[in-house]
Amino acid sequence: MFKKGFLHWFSHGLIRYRYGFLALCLVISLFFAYHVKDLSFNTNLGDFYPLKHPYLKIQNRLNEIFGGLNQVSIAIEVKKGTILNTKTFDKVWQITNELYLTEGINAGRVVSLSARKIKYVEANEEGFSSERMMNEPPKGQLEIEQLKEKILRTPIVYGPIVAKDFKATLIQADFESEVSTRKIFYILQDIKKRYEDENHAIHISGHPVLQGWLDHYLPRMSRLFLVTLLVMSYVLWNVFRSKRGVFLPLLSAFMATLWGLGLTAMFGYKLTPATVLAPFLVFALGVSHAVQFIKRYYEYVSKHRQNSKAAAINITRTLFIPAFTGLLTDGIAPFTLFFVPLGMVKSLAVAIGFGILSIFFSTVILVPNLLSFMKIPRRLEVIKEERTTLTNRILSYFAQLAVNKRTRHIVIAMFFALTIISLFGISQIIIGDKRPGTSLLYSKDPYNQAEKFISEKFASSDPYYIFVEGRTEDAFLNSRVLKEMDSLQRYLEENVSGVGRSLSLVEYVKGMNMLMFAGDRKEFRIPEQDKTIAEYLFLYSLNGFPGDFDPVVNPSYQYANIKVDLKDHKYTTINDVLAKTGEWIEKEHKAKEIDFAYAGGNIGMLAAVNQTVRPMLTVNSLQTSFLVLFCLLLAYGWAGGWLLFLPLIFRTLLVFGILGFLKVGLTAEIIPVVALGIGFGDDFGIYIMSRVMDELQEGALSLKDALVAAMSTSGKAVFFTGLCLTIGIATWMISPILMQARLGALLGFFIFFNAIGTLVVMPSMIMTVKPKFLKR
Amino acid sequence: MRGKIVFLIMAMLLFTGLAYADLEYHKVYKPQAGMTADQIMEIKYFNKYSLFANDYESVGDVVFMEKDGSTRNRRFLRQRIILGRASDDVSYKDLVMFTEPTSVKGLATLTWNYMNPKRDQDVWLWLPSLRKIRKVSASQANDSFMGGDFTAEEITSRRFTDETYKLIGEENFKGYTSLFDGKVYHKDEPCYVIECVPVRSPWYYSKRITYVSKNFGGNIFDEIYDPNGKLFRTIFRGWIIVDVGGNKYPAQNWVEGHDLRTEHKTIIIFDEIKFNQGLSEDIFTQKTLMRQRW
Repeated sequence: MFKKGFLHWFSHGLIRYRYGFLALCLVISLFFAYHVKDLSFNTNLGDFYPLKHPYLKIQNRLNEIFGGLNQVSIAIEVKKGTILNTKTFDKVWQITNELYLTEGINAGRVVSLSARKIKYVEANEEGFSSERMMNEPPKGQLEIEQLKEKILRTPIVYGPIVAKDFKATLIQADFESEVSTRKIFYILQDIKKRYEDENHAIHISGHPVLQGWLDHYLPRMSRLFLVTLLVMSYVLWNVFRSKRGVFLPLLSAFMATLWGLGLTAMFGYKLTPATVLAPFLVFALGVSHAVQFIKRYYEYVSKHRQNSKAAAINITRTLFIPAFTGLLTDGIAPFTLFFVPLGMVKSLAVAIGFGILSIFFSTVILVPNLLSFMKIPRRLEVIKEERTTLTNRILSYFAQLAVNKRTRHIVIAMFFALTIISLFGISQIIIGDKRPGTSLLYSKDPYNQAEKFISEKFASSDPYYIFVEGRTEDAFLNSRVLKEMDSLQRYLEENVSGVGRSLSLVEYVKGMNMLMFAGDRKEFRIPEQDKTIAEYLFLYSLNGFPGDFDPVVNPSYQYANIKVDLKDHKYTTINDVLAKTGEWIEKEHKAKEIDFAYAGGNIGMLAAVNQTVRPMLTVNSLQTSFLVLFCLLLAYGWAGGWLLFLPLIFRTLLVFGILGFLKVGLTAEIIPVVALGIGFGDDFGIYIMSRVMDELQEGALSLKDALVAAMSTSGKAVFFTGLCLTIGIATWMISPILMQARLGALLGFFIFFNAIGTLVVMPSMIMTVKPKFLKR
Repeated sequence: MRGKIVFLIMAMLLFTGLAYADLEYHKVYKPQAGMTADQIMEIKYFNKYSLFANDYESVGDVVFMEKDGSTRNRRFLRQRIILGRASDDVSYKDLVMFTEPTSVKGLATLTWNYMNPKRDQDVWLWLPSLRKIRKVSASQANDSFMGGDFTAEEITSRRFTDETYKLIGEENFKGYTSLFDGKVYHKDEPCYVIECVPVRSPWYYSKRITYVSKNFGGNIFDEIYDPNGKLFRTIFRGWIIVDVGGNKYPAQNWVEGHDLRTEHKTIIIFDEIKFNQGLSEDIFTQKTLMRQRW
């Protein structure tokens, strides 16, 4: 009774004060438009990682102590011939020098053939000599041959800095944390532009470069938005064949998007690869909800031929509950996503949340408001909208499947069977990405091409760092401590198939010891006396500029690290190396002077994401499901709630089963896909169920008649609603950013599958269960 | 792994120098009015390596100051005998023994420097823990000196012939405020201002502007410019005059390098400076190196 009273009061009030509401919408829109102008594109890679995860905390400590936050790699590839020519060596020398002179460079971390800390060392009976590998570029063939010999005799150079086939050479640099990634990206692009020629290609990778590429691609999303707009207009035209049918949903969705963006900007968020998707989603969702209103409007004026005001009041009254429930359940997804510890998901949640809040105003208030100002459509316009199309025929077929007892049982049985099969598919789901490079971009993207090239040529793709923390200063001037580090390194190299090589202070001390014994290979070992270690490390420190030795051990010898190069970043490889590290520490770590902490580096960051994604997927899905169920139970009672909810969960399982069978590696973007899929997926069922109830209340003779009528009216709207949403999301698939494309493909598929699933299964379930509440 | 090694050499080069054909060993020279930039710089180099004395001894403290103000210390004892002996070409011999940090106490280097500017130094390294002497190569000119903010050539190996000089002015030095102790040094010291351009090009610096005292011929302050012409480092040198039997010997007691890019500073403070103690040449041999006296 209260519900009816409220709906009457609200729908009449809305139209009675329509000028006021319209002016309010306009003023708020202008206000948000003013704020939107401050919104800028800005990528923050931290958004893609769970910053509070212990591994990320270790990574932060590693960055603080050893640098490397803004490390970049520049590979010079020779297309014809090898690098053994004066021109290539000149380029290496010039680029390295240019980097040393660049503002904000961390000179201690510059590594190249001509870097100040890369030396050629030769031992003999009397002692040893040391000189820069390439203090100046070779001037002739003889000097080139001499340099080649030095390279071949220096394992730290031959392989890691010069490719084994001499086709490429690597330069690495690191910038201070104050230097913006955008600046780093432009510096490196400028170097690439100036030093590339017909025989030299330059490949650039590293986190600042990745961020630079993402920043570069982000503004292209504006163009994608236009594509979405055009495709959606085409769909709307096909649905309604009228100007108001096209422009009203677009206008209302535009307002919701504007408000959403305005709120996002007001709360200090920027347009990141994640939040930039929100306008698409909000726009699509806004259009889809508006479609239901417009569709109902046409039905009403077709039957009653009253004025637009009456029509507006009626559609507000009849659609308020389903629209409100739909938007409420839509809003559950961003609400639960807000608690996911990934900046990318959180900011997306905020942006979508603001958008959904805005859709309530744009759909429930603006659409009826604007319709009330319009003239009743001409008869022809209504006829055009109501004509029988292929969609109607298909929907009618779906309804017939439900009406026939045998076929509806087959539909339900098949649905359950597929769900059970999908459980097996779910067990096959792979977490994590196994391709080289970043999962944020396509493998053919210049960035991933560069990563692939560098990884193949220099075998340095996926570093894993173990942080070794001394309890006091000079902790590493200790033979026992170094022997433990050595033992851990050898254990990982021997017991984890994915481990390539490892490097730490240990190798430097062993190397120095070998030099002191005339280069005798047997002396490549840790000396027994602590004092000898202290002397060796002191000699290293004397030789380099301040900071040169910092990537390996800090100046007070309290912090060091072990760098382990992994051959790939597959989920199993990551798990294996982390498990083996843990095992070794538990069983073998005895030295009280130090503690080991893992996992840092790219591997640690990926492991943190993997470890967050898997439990969060379950937790977030359950949270979302529970809240959606709660809303549905409130709105439609026990039977109706479950009738809407169970098929939704089964459809979700089915989608995951398919992903499992297809062996799609699931990364962080799957979390919003599931939440939004569940949150948005119930809209379709809600509108159909509401329509069946309305039909019965308006005098339909039987449930069968009500269902057939609902399918031909709301069913059609559901189909186009699903289509609009899918289009809005699926356009992300043509984004140059793979993360967005994957999100678009997965979520688009999920939503469309939900829409079609609802249209096929929901009628059969209603006809089987025949819930009593529908007739209330 | 051998190639991975980056190691020492620098310490053994402390305050080495070269013979200067036009100036006689064991005599004190001062710049005179009307001298050319080349003549002034020749005296400057002569004084920098204390070639006027018979021998030299001091205790040095090296302080590394990080950007955040934290410091690390090293201490060494240095002995030098100046020979200027044409018969075997030896200019002078240098012994540097580290006494701090205590973990490396006793580590020492012995360097023989020759009069022939083309002849390389001979450098030996003594590792007390292994009781081993190793002959090592001299460091390259643009390598770091003792792990600090100076290059080897700035402290030990730069020769008069490595640069071309132009006198660009004469002025009273405005004083240098130390970033280590905050005191002002050499305020109003009358100086020649000389522009020095390296012969080698390209090189890690394009030019330096040096202030040479008119009073004692030592350079007080260097402004060093990178190949793009941007000032990237300064080096201040504090001097004292030591009276040795009536002779006024100029001696460096403070060297402060400041890297303007990294804000890292290195300070070397010389204390207990003594000249003409009658050090025996026998001290400067490999055998003596093995006998620890500190």
